[in-house]
Amino acid sequence: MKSCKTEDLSQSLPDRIDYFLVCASYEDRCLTSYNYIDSMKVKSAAVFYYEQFYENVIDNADLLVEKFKAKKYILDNYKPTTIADAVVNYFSIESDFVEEKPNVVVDVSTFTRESLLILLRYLQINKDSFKDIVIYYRSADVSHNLSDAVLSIRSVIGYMGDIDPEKPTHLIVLSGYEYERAKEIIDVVEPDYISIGYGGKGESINDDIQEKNKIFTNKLIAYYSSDNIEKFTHSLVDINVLKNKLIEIIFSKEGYNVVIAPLNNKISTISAGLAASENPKVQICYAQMANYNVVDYSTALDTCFVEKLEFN
Amino acid sequence: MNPFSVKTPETLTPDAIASLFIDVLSDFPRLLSPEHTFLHGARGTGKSMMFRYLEPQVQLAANNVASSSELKYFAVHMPIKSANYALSELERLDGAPYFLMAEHFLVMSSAIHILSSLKSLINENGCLDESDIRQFYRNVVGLLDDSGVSNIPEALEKDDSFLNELSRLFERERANAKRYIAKLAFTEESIPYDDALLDYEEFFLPFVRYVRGLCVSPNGPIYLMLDDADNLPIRMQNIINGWVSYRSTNDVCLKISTQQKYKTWRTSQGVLIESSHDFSEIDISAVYTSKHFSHYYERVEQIVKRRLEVSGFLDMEPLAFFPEDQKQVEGLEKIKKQIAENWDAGNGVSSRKSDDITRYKTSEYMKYLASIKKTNTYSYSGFRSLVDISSGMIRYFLESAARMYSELEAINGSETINFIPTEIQDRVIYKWSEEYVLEEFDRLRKDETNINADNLNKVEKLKRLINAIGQTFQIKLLSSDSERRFISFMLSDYPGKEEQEVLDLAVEWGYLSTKTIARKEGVGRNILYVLNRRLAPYFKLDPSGYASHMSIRPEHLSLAINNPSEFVRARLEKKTNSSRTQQSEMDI
Repeated sequence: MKSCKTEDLSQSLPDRIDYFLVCASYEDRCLTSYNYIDSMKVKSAAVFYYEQFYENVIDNADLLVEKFKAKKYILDNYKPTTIADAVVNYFSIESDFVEEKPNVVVDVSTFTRESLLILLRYLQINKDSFKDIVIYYRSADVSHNLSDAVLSIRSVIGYMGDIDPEKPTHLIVLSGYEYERAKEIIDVVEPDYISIGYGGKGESINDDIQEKNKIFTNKLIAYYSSDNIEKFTHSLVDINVLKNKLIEIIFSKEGYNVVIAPLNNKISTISAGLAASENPKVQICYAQMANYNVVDYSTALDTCFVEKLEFN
Repeated sequence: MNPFSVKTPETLTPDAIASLFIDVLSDFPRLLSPEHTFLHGARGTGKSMMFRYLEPQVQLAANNVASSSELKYFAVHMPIKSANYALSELERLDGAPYFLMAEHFLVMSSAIHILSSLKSLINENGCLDESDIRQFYRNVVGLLDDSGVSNIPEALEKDDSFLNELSRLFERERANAKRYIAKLAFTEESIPYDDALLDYEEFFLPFVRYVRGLCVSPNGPIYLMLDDADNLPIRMQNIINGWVSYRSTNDVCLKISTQQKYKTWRTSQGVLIESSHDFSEIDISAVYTSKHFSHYYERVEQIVKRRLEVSGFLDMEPLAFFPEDQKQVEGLEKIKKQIAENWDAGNGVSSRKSDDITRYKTSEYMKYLASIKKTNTYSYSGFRSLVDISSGMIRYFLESAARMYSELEAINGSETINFIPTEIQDRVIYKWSEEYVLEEFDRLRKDETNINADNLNKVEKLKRLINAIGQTFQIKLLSSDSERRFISFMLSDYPGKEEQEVLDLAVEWGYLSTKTIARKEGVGRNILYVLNRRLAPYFKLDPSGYASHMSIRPEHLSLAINNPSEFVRARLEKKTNSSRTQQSEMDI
């Protein structure tokens, strides 16, 4: 996966962008495209945002819409179908690419994990309609308190898997920093076996983030004190490296239902999505939270990661 | 083998359950009666183990009956996992289409579980009249046919059983439903469902009657045990409530366990189902923490004895396997003697000498340790103390005991283990208590004056609350007040929304449990919040017995959440004067 300075991001993207998708957020890094991508190279754009965060995101949304003459999509955090519908709508009304297949560029930095996975699934199903699908991710140092109060845990649209109630469950958690969220998922899924991963040294955004991630994971494991937990480290900067690792872990327990809970950064979320798409029996679950730390969620860093997605 | 290792009940064989389970069912008689029952209890309170014990395969393995047909009910365990039922695609459907499809899904899952149990019973019993099964197959196929299921095979393949074929048919119908649900992902338009939709009244109840008619079936209704039903999406809970509202208990009784997070008591028609009218309710925690009726200690003693026996420790008494710290026992004896002498000299507080001893012995011993700066040496070892710390949750006892055993095994190598030394008990139980509090508490304690309360999320508020309550109880235990042993509190008035949310989270996560007690005024009841005794070693509290309840005003609760140190000061200050006047000086 290619990394670059944020100011050099534009050079790492296609010269012409046919479809550009970005999610307006309360995080400053949602404005990366506003600051560093020339609007002239973007043929069509969609700006998504959640109505639940309207007051905190509308200024950023307006900036993006104005710069890219983008279509605005309002999503409902409580109804994941609104994400699927918005994606379907955007690609269906902007489909006048007759000469050659269009490319797609997605700023994945500030999509929620659920919306990102749904978008990814749509792109995977319709991959033959597109030339290249490129994502970029601007890294950030995230706050200690990202969210609180789990409202519900559900499968992500497009990743319901094929769960056999008679088989035991293997839960793979890519743990981030949200303790309550991870704990609630483990408690609700009640897995018979847990594989819990965190960013490895040299495979994370930086050493400080890696250390925080490791401490958090150890705390979570301590809570469960079970024999049936396996810890692993993984990449948070390379989609395909983690995807392959996940596939290896999925097959490590035969005869189990597999559920993945991606709770770390968006790069690892995409890896989870790709691994599950290649193994349709695998389910991805998502914990919807009641509150997000909209004031102090993250501080954008100066590195971007860019990748052309390959769907098998 | 570690005698105390905890495994998910779902993964245990009938033989393992039969050998490990201690019959606690007499504590919960309504669970066995032919009615719909909700069984509420936190994780680890033994709900799944109870359900599994009722299964005919386990009853046979436990030699409680010689044949399944002797049983008075046919218990079928159906674990509810969110991964099976919380499917976002399904939520796309509204109104009747949702309820039809979701009920079909639930009916199929229930029927598959019943059939699976039936198959294993037949395999175990070996005896069966082939014509009985053939007739059952014809009847169920007829039902499926009437319900619109197509492509039912005319004749069975060679060497195939009728029940396997029915399983395949049910699996096929469930797979059809899943394929349909998956199709809903990226379309707003309604998609027609071409396959049959099976419902509770027209398909499931007649199906159950056919199952009951089989000679291998137990002689009574099916107890369909939906384990952890709070994992169902709310609209599926509506459907289950609809099933509860049926007067079908001659054929099927629903035994529904929850972790106290069940979201609705209404059916899909909006009708309210009511306790005692439509169903009975059992709260495991309330039974096991009841002052007058709890058999919890005896239950844990039986469980531990049984586990030790299964692992080859014959005639081993739990009290001997988990001994107390002798030095501390002697120290406490001296203190008890002094308190008794003090009472005899007319300086007692309680009307009975034994009450004074119970109320003050631990406090005085802790105070002695504090005076020589050795409170950390207070020992929580001993079977009774470990049972108290497990807070009414069997799993808590077993988890910590399993750790003690493995630690000793690692040290001992191949040497025989005859008991768990007190040092190991204490090392594990202190660490186990600290883990529950997490390192975060220490950090918060140091930083609490520097953090802006507005930025704290609910989890941190919860930690602050627990910290404030624990510290206050600890200070009271080391005081010379007449009331010193606190493990619970009640609110003098209704708390604000924020405080109530934090209390609810504390209850949900098990840091606090609730029960109601009669108001002193004689009218109505108060909610009592009981601190999880697992926290006792961390806060140096006395986990034993039934201590006094501390009364807390809502504004103090808010203070506890936002500024624990200030709460501790305020709460203790309030009592200082009055406690001085109540207190009888004890010269110990």
